[in-house]
Amino acid sequence: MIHLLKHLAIAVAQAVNGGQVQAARQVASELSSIETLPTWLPEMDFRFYLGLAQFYGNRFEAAEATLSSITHDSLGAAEAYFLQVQILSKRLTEENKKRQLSQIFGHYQKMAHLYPYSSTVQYVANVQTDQSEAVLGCDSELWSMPAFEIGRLYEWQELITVGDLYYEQNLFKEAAKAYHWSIQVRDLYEWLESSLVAEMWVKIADCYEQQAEPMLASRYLAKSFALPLTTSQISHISAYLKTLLARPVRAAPISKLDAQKLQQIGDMLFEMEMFDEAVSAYRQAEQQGADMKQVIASVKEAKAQFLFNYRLERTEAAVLFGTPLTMAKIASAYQKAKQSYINIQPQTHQSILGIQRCNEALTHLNPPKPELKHKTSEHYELLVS
Amino acid sequence: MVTITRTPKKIIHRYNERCTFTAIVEPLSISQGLVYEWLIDGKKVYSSIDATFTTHFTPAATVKERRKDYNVSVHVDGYIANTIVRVAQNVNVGTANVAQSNKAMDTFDWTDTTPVEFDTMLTIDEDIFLQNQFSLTRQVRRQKVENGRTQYGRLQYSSASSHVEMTTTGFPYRKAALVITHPRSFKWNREEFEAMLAHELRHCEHRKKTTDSSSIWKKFMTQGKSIFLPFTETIAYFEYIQSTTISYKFIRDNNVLLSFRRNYTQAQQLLPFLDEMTQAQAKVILQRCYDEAQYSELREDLSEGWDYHIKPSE
Repeated sequence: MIHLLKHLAIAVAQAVNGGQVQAARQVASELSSIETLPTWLPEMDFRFYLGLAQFYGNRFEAAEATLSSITHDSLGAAEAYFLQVQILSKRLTEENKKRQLSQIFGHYQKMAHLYPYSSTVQYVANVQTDQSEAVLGCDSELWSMPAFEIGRLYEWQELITVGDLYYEQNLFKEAAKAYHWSIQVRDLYEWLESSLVAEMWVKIADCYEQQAEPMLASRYLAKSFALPLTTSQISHISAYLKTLLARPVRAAPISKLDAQKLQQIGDMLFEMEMFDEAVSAYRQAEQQGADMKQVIASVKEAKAQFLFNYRLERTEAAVLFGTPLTMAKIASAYQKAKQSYINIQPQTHQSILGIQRCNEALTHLNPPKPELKHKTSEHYELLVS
Repeated sequence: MVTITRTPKKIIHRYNERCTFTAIVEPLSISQGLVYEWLIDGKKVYSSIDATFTTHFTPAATVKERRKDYNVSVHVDGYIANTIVRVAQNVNVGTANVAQSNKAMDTFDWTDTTPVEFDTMLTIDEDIFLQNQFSLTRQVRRQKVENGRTQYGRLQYSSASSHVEMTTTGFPYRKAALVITHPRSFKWNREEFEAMLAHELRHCEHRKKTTDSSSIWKKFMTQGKSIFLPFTETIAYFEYIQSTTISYKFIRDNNVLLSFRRNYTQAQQLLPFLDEMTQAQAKVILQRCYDEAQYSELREDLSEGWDYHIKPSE
């Protein structure tokens, strides 16, 4: 299997860099003839590699059939949806457009579900907001360009640093997550075209190996072959995979938690508006004795503020993460922040100010401000609820 | 020969960000025992048999260093390689901005038709609504004031707190009603303020074009804001990308490169959703951004590992 994966990486590089299809066709044919898969490679992962080879070999019908059979437990599920989007896009005609576009959007929704840090999340929210506005009749309301978007501050390089900081503490599960985020936040085409993404899959594999999960590590190493690699990368990764499969499982090293590093991670995630992830890091720092209560309350307040600003720039039809972003939701976020400030005992000047700010925000949220409801450009009414 | 690689590879670095440079000598067989001399802006700063050099860049708080490009070079075995490192300042310095007032906004001489055509169909009620919504202190539509002077409200200052610097607003399929400058925009200097106005003006132009049924901007809007937005923001952010006057600090603090790349790529992904003719026109618009973007690193191969990358559209 490993030699076929090596062939796949070469074929991918030839297709991505030079538009050559022959090698990919050859690999697709070789993969199709495999009768038994190695125990470490699940069928659903394998189908992704087969579908990928078919795609790069310009065998789009075969690729679509293979890729559409992939379930979400495949490590290549998100990429498989992206490949299907590309196949559908190539086949668009005026006649089939409506149906195909709806199918494409469905694939974007699934990508957003599988890779919740990807840019597809905001795109899906935008389309769903458009649809909701049309239904609620507020698509002719006054509007401005929104500045608040999910993922507007995600930086893949920073997320690698976050992963490295977790790794240094032997927090391999968290490190693997952060490395994964660093891939998700990159542009969709980079998932399939960047050799640096392949390097990240190798890092993730390393994390799982350290965590004594060699099978999962092998699957991630295999995934790196789905990207254009250099000859030396191919040699290195295949050697690693062979060693991994051959050596006995090693016990996971004990974690070396460092409150300062965990705080640094929290700060970096907070700066990228990854609020919940920052809170998790701060909580870990808290377990190491750091006083994080004030910071955690501030993060929660910032999250509520973000949601408020997000909603402020849009209409009452705003949809986020598949559900309407109601004022009640924003109020709930402020309530959580307020509760975090209340939990700071004894109360500090800062926590009292935090409670006041949350109370003030909650007053503004309820009752909501009057809104202009446009029926047409000539006719509108003020809505006061 | 010698080349330099850098970690992290950023098109514009943060102030005081740690940067590690590595000199790669080829063929590798001759790299043993060599002495690497590192220079910044022609001045020798480090010498070692180790091929790596780590430093932090701290541009001075001067107007001259608003867009500071450091020339980092390595001299080894008779070979020289160099790389340019752009670094943001940690403070805003520049030409003093205009005052936070409508009087100052009037100095830009915006009318109903310049620098772009605004929505002259605005009704009295709509005007009042806008004034209330954005805490404006004058009406949007033109009016006669004392001495028979004509006063315009197309560029207005609003002292109400806002989370953004400027807002272009109006109704769908109509020209922009006005541009509002918020207190945050005055934290910057005149150079950045003017660049922000230029950014908003791109939005105004696109809104104006939505009134023309043959315009691609009308077609984008017809398909929804989810299509219109990435295209208009690509062009508006491109305005920043091409600016030679805004500070690197502004670009970093406002995530200009990230926003440009994000909208550009999103717009590219939406191309299949457009009809053939609109798609062709949209590709031309995007390709121009690709071809002309002043930060050439954006176009470098993905494997180079720069923080932001864009693909050609045609």
